[in-house]
Amino acid sequence: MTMSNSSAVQNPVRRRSPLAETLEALGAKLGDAHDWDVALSFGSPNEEAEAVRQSVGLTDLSRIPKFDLRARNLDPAFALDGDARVWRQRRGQSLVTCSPESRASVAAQLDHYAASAAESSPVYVSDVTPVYAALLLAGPRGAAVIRKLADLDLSGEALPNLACTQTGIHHVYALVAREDLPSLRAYLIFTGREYAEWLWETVMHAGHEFGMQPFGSQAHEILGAS
Amino acid sequence: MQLFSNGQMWRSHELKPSYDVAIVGAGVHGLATAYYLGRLFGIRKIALLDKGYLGYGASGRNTAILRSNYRTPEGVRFYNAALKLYEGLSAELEWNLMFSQCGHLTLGHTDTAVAGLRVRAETNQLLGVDSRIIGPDEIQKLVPHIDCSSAPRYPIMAALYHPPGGIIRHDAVVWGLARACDRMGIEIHTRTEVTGFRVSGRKVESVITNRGEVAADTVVNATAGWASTICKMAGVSMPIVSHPLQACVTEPLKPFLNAVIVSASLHVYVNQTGRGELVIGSEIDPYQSYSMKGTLPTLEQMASSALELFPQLHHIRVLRQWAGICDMTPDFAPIIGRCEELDNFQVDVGWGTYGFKAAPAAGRYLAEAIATGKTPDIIAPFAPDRFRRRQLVGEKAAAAVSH
Repeated sequence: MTMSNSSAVQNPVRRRSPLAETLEALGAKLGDAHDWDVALSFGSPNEEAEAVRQSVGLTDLSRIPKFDLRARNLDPAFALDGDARVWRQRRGQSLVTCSPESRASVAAQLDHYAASAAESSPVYVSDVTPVYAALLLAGPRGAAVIRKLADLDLSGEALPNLACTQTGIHHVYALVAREDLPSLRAYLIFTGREYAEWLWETVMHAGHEFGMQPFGSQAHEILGAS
Repeated sequence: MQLFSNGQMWRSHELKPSYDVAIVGAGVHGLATAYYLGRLFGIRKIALLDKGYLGYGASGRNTAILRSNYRTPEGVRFYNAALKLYEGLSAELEWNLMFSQCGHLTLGHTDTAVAGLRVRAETNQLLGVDSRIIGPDEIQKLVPHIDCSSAPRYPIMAALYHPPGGIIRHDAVVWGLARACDRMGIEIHTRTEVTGFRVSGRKVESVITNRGEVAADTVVNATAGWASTICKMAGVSMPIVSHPLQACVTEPLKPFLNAVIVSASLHVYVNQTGRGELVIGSEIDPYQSYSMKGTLPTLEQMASSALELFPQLHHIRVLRQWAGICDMTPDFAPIIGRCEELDNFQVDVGWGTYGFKAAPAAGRYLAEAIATGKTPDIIAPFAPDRFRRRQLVGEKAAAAVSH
């Protein structure tokens, strides 16, 4: 299939997070980022970032690339170059995430790894980006919010930075991964896209007493750079 | 209007020994028949029997497209009645069915196809259905993302534009009807599989299920996929063959497609749901089967056909693929009414790929036939004995799926 026709060039399509309507209803300003329709901000990005630093905030990161990696004999030290993260879910299965900018490089590394696997120990890689929603809960009160929802030990020993655990949040399966922002505790919460709105509302409800507010990608960039 | 509810939509019941009406199949057709029997004719001692859960069968496996731009006068009248009923059903049920009348375009890629669409447009207009032929410029205006250039294998020459057509949320229709039936005291028995009928002379005395036997004054077969199997249990032969029909859904996209796009030449139809997903349907599988699994060749065909219309979708991922079973009749029109062989055995079967569109009208007029004993004119052309009388309806040309 060629891409030479004008309607395709002039009218590209953009992917949408399963939370797009929820975020729009909350007043998000939507914009394009790496082929996705993302919530840029809900007002002032600086104020959103400050609110996160002071207490806690929630944002939608469903757009980040996600790969399901299945390898029976995956080396515990297996790692990928760049900003890729390997979240081990269970023996033989991991979720690999990275920034949208690194998608092609990480996909190529995974393909190479799968291609070079021994026949007796095959490796399977699937791009599951649209399958899972991802929420980022960031701020000093983030752990308190999760503790209201799940019986998890979130201490630094039990869940250090770049470690993950699995739990149920209000009857919904979730993978909780700790990936701190500079000087700020942060948790990525992955769940099936069908449950994204449910999980968003549940987490927002739990964070109400801490003054939790949604924040957009621009505030996320500010926090990431700080 | 209620969108979400924490209340119970319908209740469970023990099977009673007898009912006024027993309906086999609690899909959208069975539910609609029960609903109109209860609402219009006061017949509420009804048991709906289904071997699965609500929406397990064709009611939950279709692409939820509604339209009335059919080929034959009989079909146009009937499906237009169904469309009108759908238009008022959300308010009637006090339940948001998410019916979006976004318009329906059937594309013509060849002179022959366009000539066929012209005939349909004429028939539609004569019967008061909003339907007309439009050219590439207007198509491009209505659907800016579609490829109207001369580059594709089958360039778009014209389209049959049917503004009242659109899409609906099929689960909502099933749930809304089920709730309304339950509120009238009509019993819905899921996980209740019909295994046979006790027939005496020209009458079905009772329905045998895996949960016991129930007597009924009238028995209705409103199944899809297993219609001929159920009829055979009552000793009735139906001229039906069953084929799978596959569809798939993509990851959600920012809304860009506000119309249903159908191409008979490419055997594909595409619409975008309120959540942004694209629902893409295929032609029926060429073989007879009861399989409800997707196959790779059909997925490839759906993808390549959709890409001919919308090349921008080349990087979009398919999230799910499924199949439903279509009961095909020799003339591609349904079979509704009392069976010749039995005095109290009614059928609402053989819907092929048109079933979901027809449900309210099929239920409404079959209910009238059951309650009054007289067949309404609007469903008379679809009577089971038409095959013996050789008075077929001939609706084959009205679909995008290459029957």
